[in-house]
Amino acid sequence: MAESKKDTPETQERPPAPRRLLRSRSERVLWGVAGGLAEYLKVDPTWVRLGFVAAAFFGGFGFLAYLVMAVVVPEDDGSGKPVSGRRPPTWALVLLGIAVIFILPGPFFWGWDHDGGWWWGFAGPFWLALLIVAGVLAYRALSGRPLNLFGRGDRSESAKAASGGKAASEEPTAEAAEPPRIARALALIALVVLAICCACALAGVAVWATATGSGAVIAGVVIALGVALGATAFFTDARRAAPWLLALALVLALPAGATAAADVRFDGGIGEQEYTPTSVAEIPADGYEHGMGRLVVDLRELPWAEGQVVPLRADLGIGQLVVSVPEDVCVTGEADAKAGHLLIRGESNGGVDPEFERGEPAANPRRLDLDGEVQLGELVVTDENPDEFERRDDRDDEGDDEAQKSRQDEACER
Amino acid sequence: MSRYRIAALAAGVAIAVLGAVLMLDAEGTVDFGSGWLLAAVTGLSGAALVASGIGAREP
Repeated sequence: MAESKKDTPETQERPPAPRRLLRSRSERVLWGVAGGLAEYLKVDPTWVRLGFVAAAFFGGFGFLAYLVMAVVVPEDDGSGKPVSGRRPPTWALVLLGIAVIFILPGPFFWGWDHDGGWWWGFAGPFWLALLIVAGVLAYRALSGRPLNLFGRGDRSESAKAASGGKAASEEPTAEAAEPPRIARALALIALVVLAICCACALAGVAVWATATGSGAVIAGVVIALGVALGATAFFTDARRAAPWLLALALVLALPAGATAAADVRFDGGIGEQEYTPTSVAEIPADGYEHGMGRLVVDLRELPWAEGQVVPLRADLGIGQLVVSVPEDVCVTGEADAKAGHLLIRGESNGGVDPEFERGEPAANPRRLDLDGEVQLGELVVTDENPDEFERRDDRDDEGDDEAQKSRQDEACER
Repeated sequence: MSRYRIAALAAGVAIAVLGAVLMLDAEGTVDFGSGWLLAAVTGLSGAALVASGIGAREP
């Protein structure tokens, strides 16, 4: 009795020690960062890993964050305390160095430092991080746990201890554990948004892989998910995983299947590419190709002899293709898109499978013989400055298109 | 009561067949054509969802 009276005030008056963020030893795939973070936040490590993977698609943010944490967060010694004197993993340091060299200046290399692209380079990771935090909040709110993210122990327990309560170890009441209703609603919305972000990132990977000729990899993953899904039929414990496996398989298979069915192919690079040939010899025989972004072929400086026909092939995966020609050049040939918009010298056509076709004119004018294709996006042939079509702020679309049409007709009748 | 859940098994088989169709198309082994490929993808996805839905009703 005497001993318990002596010990009780000391143990009850001292608030619980702050929980340490450590790299996990038990939940470890690589360096235990995701496992440690999950233990710290009291969430399923799989969610944290998925969060890192999804964030990696936003300017490499997830990859970089993982490496930084692998270096700065100490390792758990197995008892919830950091291992003393242990150096950060050598490979993490090496990869972090490479990442700092190549990922951080990414926006400048890729030209993401202007227009909406900046979102991906800088603000994207910020919002994604915010979403991840909101997702963690959501998980904890929906699971009925207190919204105590900052590792200071259970608030209800601390409060009882601080007030000298007699039962610090008692279970918190249902009222104390129940998060506010509005927090649950907001957390649910954040969780849905986060799930949509992850699904979009995975769908984007499936589309990209299929369009670049690596569809077999996605197909292999879908087969593996199908086998795993079938296997859940034999194991009662795995039953809860079935809907997630099905959702993951469909998120990959449907975009991949649609891309393959539409025969979408991305060849070439990413970003903005501009060509300004000053002679016909500079135009490649197999034309210009670009994967995703903006492709500009400016032929306004090209010397164009009377009656000369210049063939041009241009192919773009996703984005905007702009071909600029001199005012007195007649544009003939054909152009098409899987889905999107064609604007050929003021003649507009949009929707699914829009096409443009114009045969040789009766006269013998200066002529561009176009063979243009955009898988998804816009194809513009104009005699205006290509920059006019980047934002269209200064462009009177209807009036300028009519003017283009009349200049085209005039050029073809010369 | 069976030792396995037939609905989950059917959903898994549908997804695996869907993956196989995508694999055959990606490798160029079979040329399904746009229409048939899209029909196969949507049909198998739908079958997997139906099977999964039926499985969710099982106790």
